[in-house]
Amino acid sequence: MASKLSDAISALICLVALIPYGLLLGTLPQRTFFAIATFTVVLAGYLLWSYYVVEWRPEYESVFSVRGLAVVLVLTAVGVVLLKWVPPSPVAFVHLGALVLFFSYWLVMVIALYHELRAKDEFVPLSSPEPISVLVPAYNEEGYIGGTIEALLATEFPRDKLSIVVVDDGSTDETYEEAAAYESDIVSVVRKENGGKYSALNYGLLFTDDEFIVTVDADSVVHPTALTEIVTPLQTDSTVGAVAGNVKVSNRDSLVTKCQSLEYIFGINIYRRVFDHFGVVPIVPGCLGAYRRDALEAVCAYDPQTLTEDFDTTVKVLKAGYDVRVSKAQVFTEAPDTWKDLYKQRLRWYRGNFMTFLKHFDDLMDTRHRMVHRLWLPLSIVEMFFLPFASWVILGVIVYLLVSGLVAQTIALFAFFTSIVILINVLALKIEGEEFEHILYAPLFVIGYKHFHDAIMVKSLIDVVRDTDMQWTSASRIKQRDQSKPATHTQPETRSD
Amino acid sequence: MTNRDSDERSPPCPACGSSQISPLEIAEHKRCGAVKPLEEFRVESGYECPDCHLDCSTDSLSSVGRGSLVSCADCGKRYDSDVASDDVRDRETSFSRDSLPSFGNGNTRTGDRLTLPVGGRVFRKALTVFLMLFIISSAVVTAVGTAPLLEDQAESSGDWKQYQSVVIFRNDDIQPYYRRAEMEAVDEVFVEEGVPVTQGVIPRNDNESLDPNQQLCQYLRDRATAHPDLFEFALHGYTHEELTSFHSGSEFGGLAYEKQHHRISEGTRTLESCIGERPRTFIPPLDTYDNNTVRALVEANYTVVSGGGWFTNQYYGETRPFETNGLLHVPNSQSFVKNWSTNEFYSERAIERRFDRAYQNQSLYMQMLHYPTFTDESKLETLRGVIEHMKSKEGVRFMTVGSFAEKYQSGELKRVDDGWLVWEESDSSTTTLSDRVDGWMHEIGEKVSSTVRVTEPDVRLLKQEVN
Repeated sequence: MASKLSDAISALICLVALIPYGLLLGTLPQRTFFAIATFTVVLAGYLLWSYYVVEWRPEYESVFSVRGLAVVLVLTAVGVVLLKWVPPSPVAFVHLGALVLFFSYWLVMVIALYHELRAKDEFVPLSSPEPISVLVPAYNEEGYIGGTIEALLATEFPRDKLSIVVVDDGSTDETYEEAAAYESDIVSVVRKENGGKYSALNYGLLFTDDEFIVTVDADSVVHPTALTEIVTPLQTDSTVGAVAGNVKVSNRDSLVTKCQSLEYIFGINIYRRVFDHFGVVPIVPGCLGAYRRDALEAVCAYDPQTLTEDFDTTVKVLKAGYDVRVSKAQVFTEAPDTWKDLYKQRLRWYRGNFMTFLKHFDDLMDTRHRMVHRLWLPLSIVEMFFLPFASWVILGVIVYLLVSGLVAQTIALFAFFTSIVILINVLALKIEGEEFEHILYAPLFVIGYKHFHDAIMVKSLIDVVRDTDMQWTSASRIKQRDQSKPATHTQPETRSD
Repeated sequence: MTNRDSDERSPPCPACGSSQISPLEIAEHKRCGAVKPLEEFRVESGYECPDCHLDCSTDSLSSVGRGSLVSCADCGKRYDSDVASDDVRDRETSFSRDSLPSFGNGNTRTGDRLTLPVGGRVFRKALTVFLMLFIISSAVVTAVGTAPLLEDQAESSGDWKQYQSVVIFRNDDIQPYYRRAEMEAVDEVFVEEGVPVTQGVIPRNDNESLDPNQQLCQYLRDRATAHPDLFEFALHGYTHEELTSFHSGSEFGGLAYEKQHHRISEGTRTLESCIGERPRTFIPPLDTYDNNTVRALVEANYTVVSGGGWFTNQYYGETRPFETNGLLHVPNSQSFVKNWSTNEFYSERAIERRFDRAYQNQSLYMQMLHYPTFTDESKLETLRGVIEHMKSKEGVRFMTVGSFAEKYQSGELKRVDDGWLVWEESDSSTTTLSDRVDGWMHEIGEKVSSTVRVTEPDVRLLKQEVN
């Protein structure tokens, strides 16, 4: 009964979101409305066709694929210009694209809700699960690694089927000693020369025999049910090659960490659910992920070519034909607590994301990659190459309004768009059972926090294009920062941020 | 290969208890990231990566293992046989680096880093410049306000402006041979003040229709030519006679449709020949008309009729602008004349108070006047005073009946909660993005409030204005 009521409230949130959308539609000029409707019809047709082809008629997989979509979109753009629905200016199309995406958010909400309702009973844990190995790569994780191991040992997963391998990647602090204190029949600790996270993970694989591999960052703490939950899809569905965990921020005590907490909740519960619906979750996070060993070996495990080995490996698993899914398995991680540290962390993430995207772009244009090609690829292009620029154009308008003295109007405009973001985040918080006070930070996802990230993303793209000599940039750790130890190393190699 | 005697130094396998323990050497192929036991790299000719199959004899292999790595020959388990101790970090790996063909720097983190799949240095630089230019140009284009983020009218240049009140002056009874000096004096006030006015012209008077060659028509045409934005000429009945007792007297109300149609057609033809263009606004004499009038006006392609507010309230139950039967009705609010027998005016202050109430209510205010009643300079001063008072208020838009109707019917004029939105064609560079947003936000507010608001009865507004 309570569950049905909760589902009904979630559905109500989706319906309430239609009000601001309706208001926005009503205020748009008729020509703009026609242009948006035309593009929406094209995109909806593409999605429906893609679903039909992938699920029912794979022999048509090369028909109206991403290339075809690009051609149709260009023709549509020409058409709306000729019809004088949109002025022939690049900025006008940025505006139009942003509006189309803005409206598509509602569809994202609906899919996320549908996924939540459908996925509740999709995977049932085995009464006697298969053995698993947990890899914990660690570099200078003193003060953290012990807690990570203890949390793994405290999980509900049967101890006789659990093996934990901690890989000390040439730490220069007491990481090894801290981890070695837990050595037992379950926990083994091995060391290697410092070589990077990919290297540590590949190294750790040599010390495991199990078919199911779980990776956990050395600064992360898993929930007692996490291991069971994250391997269940792998052990019950042979088409699943990898499973992503549900990352939560453990230190929610400042503005920057609370923003990240909401970002994670939204990203995982709304955005990733859409991908999960089609089995093409783009990133299995390093904090907590699980792989089928066959899938990892089929793609030669982890590569050194990018700065984001988790994203790179996930894409390889997807390319190998496996589904990648999400799990409710929770893992708590320490988020950067200063803007400077967050900048460092995201600089690495976004640079790595661009590197990974470019690395696999040619392969992903192959229509045989099904939904990875038809859904994941175009959405990634939009997310990585369009939105960061579009948001700055829109910010320019906001600044212009403020400079013009239209403070009240700017606030009204801001409130209007914020209402949509708030409703989407309310749905995410409700699905996740998180506290609604997070909503206080939702406005920063319209202006402020979002632009901070978009600026880093633009810089990252320029860095990758310029072929800058990119170093591994990672955030400092709160516990280690307080120890005021003299720095003995300059290249943190396996930081698990 | 190894320099370690496993039989002497390694404890039995913790998994199976076997003593068949062998030292384990692990190497990484930095090119592709493969990490394998060194044995797996060995081929007859030297070393080859089992993953990427590149020859490693001349390529870099790195020893990556630390501690005392061993493997069990019986069960295959691999593990570090060292026990954590204080000196564990000082120990060296157990095998000789010299045994490997070549070792790279163990601290090289990402090996062969990814580069763009296409293009060389020039291409990358060009792409970088493009990205930079795109960002900068986007910001500049946006900042100068040409970004169509909030574009309302893609083709025409103009912007929404918000006004608190719309004011229309309606000057009735324009006719030949009657108090010409007063007519010109009143017109001159509007010219001097730059305020538009709708002139209600009577096309036939004393059994004589307007002649295009007579002085009045020439005068009206000259006015229109000299001040095209200030003067609108409307058909003010046909003969301006009280032919029926319809609502205390009317030239049209109560007449048969055919008769009304004839009078309107004749009047229109006459006025068109006089002023050189077909009128679109009809002002019924005595402020009264009926549905047959409306039907005849629609037939004659009129777009708007302006009667009395008191009459439309009685006949249609409306005092604000409204549309019925294909015609826009814009009732007048106030006359200058208090006593028609003596032509006494309301005091300037009284008229201003009525305007002020309409202004407070964000209403349309139509001031009716009859030029023949402006018989002395003091009355002209009253007119000037009223106009000045209106102009002293912020957000007042002066219009003619015809321009009001044109904008209203084309969607370029909208009633919103706190006034009026008017789409203004830009005639200079003064329009800004802020004006667009202003209009846009009011539209949003209007739509929100219209969903929850109970519409105020029109009669209430009339009572406020009358009182």
